[in-house]
Amino acid sequence: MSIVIDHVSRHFETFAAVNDLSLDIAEGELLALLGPSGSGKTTLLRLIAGLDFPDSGRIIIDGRDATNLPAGERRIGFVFQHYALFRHMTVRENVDFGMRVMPSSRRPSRSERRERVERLLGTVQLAGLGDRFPAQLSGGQRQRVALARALAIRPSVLLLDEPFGALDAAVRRDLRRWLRQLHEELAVTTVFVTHDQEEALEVADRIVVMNAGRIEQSGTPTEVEARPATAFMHSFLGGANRFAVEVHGGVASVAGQPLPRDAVTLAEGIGDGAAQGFVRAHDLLPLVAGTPGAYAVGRLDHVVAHGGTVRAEFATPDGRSVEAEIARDEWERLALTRGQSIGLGIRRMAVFPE
Amino acid sequence: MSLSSLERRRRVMPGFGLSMGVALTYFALIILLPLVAMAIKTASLGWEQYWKVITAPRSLASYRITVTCALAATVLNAVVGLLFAWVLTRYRFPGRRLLDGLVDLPFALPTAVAGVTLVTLLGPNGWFGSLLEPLGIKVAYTPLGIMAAMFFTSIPFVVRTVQPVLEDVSADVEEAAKSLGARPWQTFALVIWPLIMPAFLAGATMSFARSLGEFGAVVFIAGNLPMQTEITSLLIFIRLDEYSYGAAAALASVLLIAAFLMLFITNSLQAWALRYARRS
Repeated sequence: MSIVIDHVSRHFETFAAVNDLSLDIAEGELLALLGPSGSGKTTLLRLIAGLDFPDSGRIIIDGRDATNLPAGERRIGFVFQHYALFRHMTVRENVDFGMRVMPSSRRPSRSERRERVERLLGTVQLAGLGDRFPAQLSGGQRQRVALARALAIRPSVLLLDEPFGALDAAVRRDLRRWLRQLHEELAVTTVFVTHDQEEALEVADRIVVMNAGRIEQSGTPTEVEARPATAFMHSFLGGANRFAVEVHGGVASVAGQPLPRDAVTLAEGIGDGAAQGFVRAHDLLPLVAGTPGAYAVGRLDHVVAHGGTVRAEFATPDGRSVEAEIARDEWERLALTRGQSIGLGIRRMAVFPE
Repeated sequence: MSLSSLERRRRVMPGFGLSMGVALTYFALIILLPLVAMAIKTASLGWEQYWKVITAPRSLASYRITVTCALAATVLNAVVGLLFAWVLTRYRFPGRRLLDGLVDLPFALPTAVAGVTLVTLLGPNGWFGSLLEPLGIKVAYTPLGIMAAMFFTSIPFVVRTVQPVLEDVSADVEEAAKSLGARPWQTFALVIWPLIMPAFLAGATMSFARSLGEFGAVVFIAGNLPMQTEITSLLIFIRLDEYSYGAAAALASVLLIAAFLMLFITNSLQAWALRYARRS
């Protein structure tokens, strides 16, 4: 169901974990809250869940003001990073818990409960493991039990806090794909928190990037990945090289050389003077010796082949490290060896105030 | 191959043989030997004499007094101890660390000092005693005094066994229960209690065992009237004083069997309560 977050703030002593944040989450959406640690993404998730309450603002779930509603009355399924399974209960008892504690007026019959538990165990691919205790399961299996337990109360919203954070890489990849499929089957509004952009890009319909308690950028994975809107987004998404830039009359220069206007995106309202420019790795071009248009010189430090592309790290004379990503055959044409210096060109640059 | 298996066998303590040997010798000298000596002493009485000693009216009265008082002290301790552990783990308040340290005081204090202190407080002229006396409540020199002494000397057990387990119950688990719609009492009864129960039980058992055997603190405040306020430990002491070693050993064997029985029951209960911790 839809969630409206309306000018919500949450302070811890003087620290604003969530700062005047507004966000609409559409029914059936699969949304990722992405951000570095301390950006307030988990706090926001807990506010939606009712495990914490805002200092100001409103939270409306499915048209109903839920701001002061306790967690148990929001019909929300919450999946914790470290599973938070009841270790003294079997898998079946864990999944059944939410139904067991319902007031008798709403509680399904015994046979219905049993049937729903079995069906959910099937959904999370744990059929036959109902009599095990959590200690007898692997990390991935435990996380799926936690998910089944959250789904058992037929939640209107599913919230997951770093759901794959504690798992190893291979299990993580499987579970991500599986979560997407599950969301397509169940079509329940889902919000998950992650600090892993790859995970967000791969799983979510929409990504909300948070920084210092506010929304930095929001959009589809493609939008966010293709057009980082702020300086923070550039550095957070990674693979961006930062250059000191001088702006003068709408023209940006690096190391005294002006860049062509069509290669530069200037932030709105930027004035003359010193600025910072971000060049993403695939927009930084190692140039064949003798080609004009080099804005920097780099000495090849390190090369990593990654599928059809090559990531090369260069050390610049001022002691920084920059990264370029180019197609493998193009790289082979350059025939660079370690320690060799080369000119670096800039295809696109985004410029923001210092 | 052989090197790696050698590496794997290396432990912090030198050699299994040596450490096991020291542990076993110690166990034999300090625990097993006195027990065997006691059993031999008891056996020297002969069955008929043994039975007569342990079922003498004065002995039976001492069991009744000891067990009733120990049970009462344990029940009180279980409740207060659980509360104490809860307060110490769940709340942050000024003086918490001091309070946490003070919990161990009954262990650190010589039991005779505890006894004397209790008499000073609860005696007819003591601070509390003088207030309770007009209400018709006599504490010193009555079973109530015995309970007070047992209570005092065994407070730390439940606190100290439950506290770490309670600290270990993560906030996550409680929040999970809450988000699934459990009311606070359901969260306690269905989630927290089953987790702390084994530790609680262990603490209560130790508290009871300690109360059964408590001597120093009790004798000062009990009044020690045969048939009324005479605990079994004191009776054993009196028999020793009379050079009837056999009778003393016989009485001691009763306490010992009671202790073993307790240990067995609580261990079985614990094993059952912790069955989820077994791995397949």
